[in-house]
Amino acid sequence: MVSITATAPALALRQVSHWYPARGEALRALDAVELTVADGEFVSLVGPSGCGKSTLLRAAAGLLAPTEGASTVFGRPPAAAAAAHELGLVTQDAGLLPWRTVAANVALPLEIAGGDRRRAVVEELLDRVSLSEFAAYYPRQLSGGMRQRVALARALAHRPRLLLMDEPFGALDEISREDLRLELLRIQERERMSVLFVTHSVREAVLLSDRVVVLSSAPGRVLADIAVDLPRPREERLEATTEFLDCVASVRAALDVGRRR
Amino acid sequence: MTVRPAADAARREANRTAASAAPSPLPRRGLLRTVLASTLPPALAVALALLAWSAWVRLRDVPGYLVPTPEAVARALIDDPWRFVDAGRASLVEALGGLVLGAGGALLLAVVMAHSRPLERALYPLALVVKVTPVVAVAPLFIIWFGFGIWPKLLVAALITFFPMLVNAVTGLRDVDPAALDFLRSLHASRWQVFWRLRGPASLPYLFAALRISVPLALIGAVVAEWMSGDGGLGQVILIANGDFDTASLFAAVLVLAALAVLLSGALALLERTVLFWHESFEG
Repeated sequence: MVSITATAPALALRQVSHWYPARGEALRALDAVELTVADGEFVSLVGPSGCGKSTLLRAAAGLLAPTEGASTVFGRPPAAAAAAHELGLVTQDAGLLPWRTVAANVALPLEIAGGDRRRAVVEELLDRVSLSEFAAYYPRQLSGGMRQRVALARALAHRPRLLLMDEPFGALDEISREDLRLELLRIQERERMSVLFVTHSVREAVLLSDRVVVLSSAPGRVLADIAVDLPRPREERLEATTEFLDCVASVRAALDVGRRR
Repeated sequence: MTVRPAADAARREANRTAASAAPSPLPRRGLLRTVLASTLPPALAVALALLAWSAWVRLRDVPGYLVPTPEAVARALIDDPWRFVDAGRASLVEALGGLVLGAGGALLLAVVMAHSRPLERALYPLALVVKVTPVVAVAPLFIIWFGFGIWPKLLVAALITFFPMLVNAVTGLRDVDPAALDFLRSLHASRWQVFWRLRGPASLPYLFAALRISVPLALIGAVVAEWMSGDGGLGQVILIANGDFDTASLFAAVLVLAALAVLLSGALALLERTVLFWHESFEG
């Protein structure tokens, strides 16, 4: 068992297809998707809207059982990974509990997972997302960007090995978005957890990722799998380099191919 | 009785989180100001209505057995206050007991129905039967079944409060933030954990909405049952006053009933404010 989890990829989707029931005929969201995220790897998923990115992420998280194919997390079904508290989830809506303070929201996974509940753990998490002064605030008192920071801290609380992020910064203004991007970069480069990151921003995908996977419009198929060979630790400055821009261009080209089909 | 666990959970939550307060959490308005702001306008409205009533009866010379003056009603209250206090207390106990039975039972059933669509489909028609059963039709039946005493009154009050709580509670327990639910599911949280941490607290605004409807209904239910059985409570006072053409006492009893409803609703509003401080409806 130990040897299996040591060698198994963080996430593996094998021939995953999914149909949503619709009036008349079924709506096909995913078409035989193959995807692997290695242990410690940061993989972004880009594609036109409605291409099944979120469906794919939900299948990876075990929130949805794909019609065909299977996904595994560290060699086990997603439900088993969830039971072992190996999954961290951040969605576009923060999904915080409004009756809990920021600190109590971040402590939620510790209560469920029965892990280390010490206040110091929560304080350290809040410090990492620069929210230490807001521990006693309630979600409705925070801005959208701050709520998303809380959601990130909450998703990290139980030390998940695989972080699944569904357009986590999608609803934010550009400035909050950039701040959060850099914070995520810092956290991931230090902890080296595996990440599957869904976004519709090509620049964001390239800046953060080791690999960018491009999906076609519905039904989603893998069009391209582009390695981002940029040095780490990455910084904002990188965005002005030719290597960065070349990488962005190749992702855009792959997206265009998908659009023309 | 069953409303309390969920409310307690939220309050415990609030206490625990307030303990770690460094900067200012939600600012709360002073209690006195809150009470004044919510009691002064209705008090003025009532005073105006009383004045208009008194003036109308005097100017039009309406006979006292048809409509008494407010003064006559006040006299009826002052002449024999204990009659109304005892009757009011009996009605209050029956109404609250019925509320606990009816709303509590509805809440338990709602928890079951919210977790199972088939059970909801199976039980909903039965709940509708309870809803459409006219209270005036079953109250005499309850008296035949359970005799005089407190039980028929409790049951009528319970019957009348059952449906609003059931419908609201099922809706409230289902109306959870999907993103929060996804997060809990990604942690493999048990149904029990999801219930206490998400569904229960999320349903509280709906439960309070149901209680706001149910509290006056419970009083009506109790009084209707008393009126039918004629053994104690404000319903009995009304029944006897009606037979005696003692309109002043009848009005006095109705007034006491109204005062009870206002008092209970006020207490409920205060409780709601305390428990639902986090809800957007209390945005300062």
